[in-house]
Amino acid sequence: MNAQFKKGVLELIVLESVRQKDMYGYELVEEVSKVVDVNEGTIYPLLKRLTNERYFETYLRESTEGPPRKYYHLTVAGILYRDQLEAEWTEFSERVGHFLQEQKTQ
Amino acid sequence: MNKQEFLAALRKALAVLEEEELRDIVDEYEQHIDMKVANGLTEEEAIADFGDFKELTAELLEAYHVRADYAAVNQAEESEKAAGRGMAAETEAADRNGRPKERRETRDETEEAGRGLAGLRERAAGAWLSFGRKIKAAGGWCWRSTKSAAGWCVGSMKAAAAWIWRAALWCFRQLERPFLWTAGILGIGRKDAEERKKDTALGTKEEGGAEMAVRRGFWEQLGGGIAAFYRWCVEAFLWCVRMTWNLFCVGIALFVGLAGVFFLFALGAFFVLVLSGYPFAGLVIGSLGAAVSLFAAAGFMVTLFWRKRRAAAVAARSDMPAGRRGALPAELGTEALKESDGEEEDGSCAE
Repeated sequence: MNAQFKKGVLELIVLESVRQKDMYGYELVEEVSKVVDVNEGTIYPLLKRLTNERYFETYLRESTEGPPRKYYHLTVAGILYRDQLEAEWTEFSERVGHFLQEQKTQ
Repeated sequence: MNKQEFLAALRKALAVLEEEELRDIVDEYEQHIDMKVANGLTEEEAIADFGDFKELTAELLEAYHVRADYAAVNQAEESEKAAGRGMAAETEAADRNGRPKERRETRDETEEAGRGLAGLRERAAGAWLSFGRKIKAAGGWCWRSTKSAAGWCVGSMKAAAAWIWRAALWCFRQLERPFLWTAGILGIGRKDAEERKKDTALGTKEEGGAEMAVRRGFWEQLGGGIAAFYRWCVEAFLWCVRMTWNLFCVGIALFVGLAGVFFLFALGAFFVLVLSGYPFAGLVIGSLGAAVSLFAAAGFMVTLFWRKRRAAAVAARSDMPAGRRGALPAELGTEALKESDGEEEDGSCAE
């Protein structure tokens, strides 16, 4: 997939994944990789940015398989931001789809 | 690049961040690499999945609104500074060896500018100290005002409570007035028992004394009966009021106490969750505050119980000189007196 497409939609995928349930970094990378093939290095900076912007809050939870894991939880601001992104994405994809359809019919 | 090298490089590239943030990021990447290794990848493969190292650090720094080329710029500035220091050393050496006039003037101007800067710094420091003193004075004024206002509030509340208490006592005393009035009309109640006995005895000795005694006895009985009935009504009414009030107090105290127990339980639960890493510190503090407040409220309601003073002890206390209080029956005497004394001391409600 085009890298620019991925970059644009990655934020929405990450927000939606964490909305479903709280996740830790590795788990989130695995989840996002199911949808788009992304560079793992881009997920962590994105998580940091969304945390710094208060869309995520983090907490540590004990793990049986090693040190405590840092879980990401979507805040109310994050939910609102995710809804806004989804609306923008829907409108954008509909417009592009409509445009492409029109071009085909001409 | 193995894990240690990668983490060291990451630490170096993100050195501009606060230590806590830096540790947080490094820990997260370390954990990610460990998980990948546990899933069968080598350290190198796991690190390769992160992509280009420079892009990675640039994106991380961007997340903190830090320039990605900060290190390069910083290095360039350091070089410039070092060059500047070299030039200054050269100038000083030239000055010692007899420097040209223009260069000397330039240096004087620089020194003047430096003095001006130092003066500015001193003025800024003075202004800052003055601001600190003003803040301290304002804080002191606030503290004194709050203290005096609080003292005035407490004093006013005490005075109001004392006035209400006196008014309530006066009202209760008025309830006894009709009884005293009836007893006064009938010629009973006020006289001492011994005096009345003596009067009756004298009356029997006088002419027609027997008839007088019989008549007075009848009126006394009638008056006494009415007075007893009236007193019983007043006591029954007071008993009902007291019971209603006490039931109200017990109900509120129980409700508030149970709510306190609930918050105590919540406190324990939230505390355990906090220890497990959940961000519930605020809820822990809130639960603690609620539990303490509710228990205090329950305790306060208990202090509002309306306890009945033992009538016999009061009568004994009012009729008997202090030296004779020991003559009261053992089960009623000292204990009852202590109780009534205590009630008067602590000012709780008493009939």
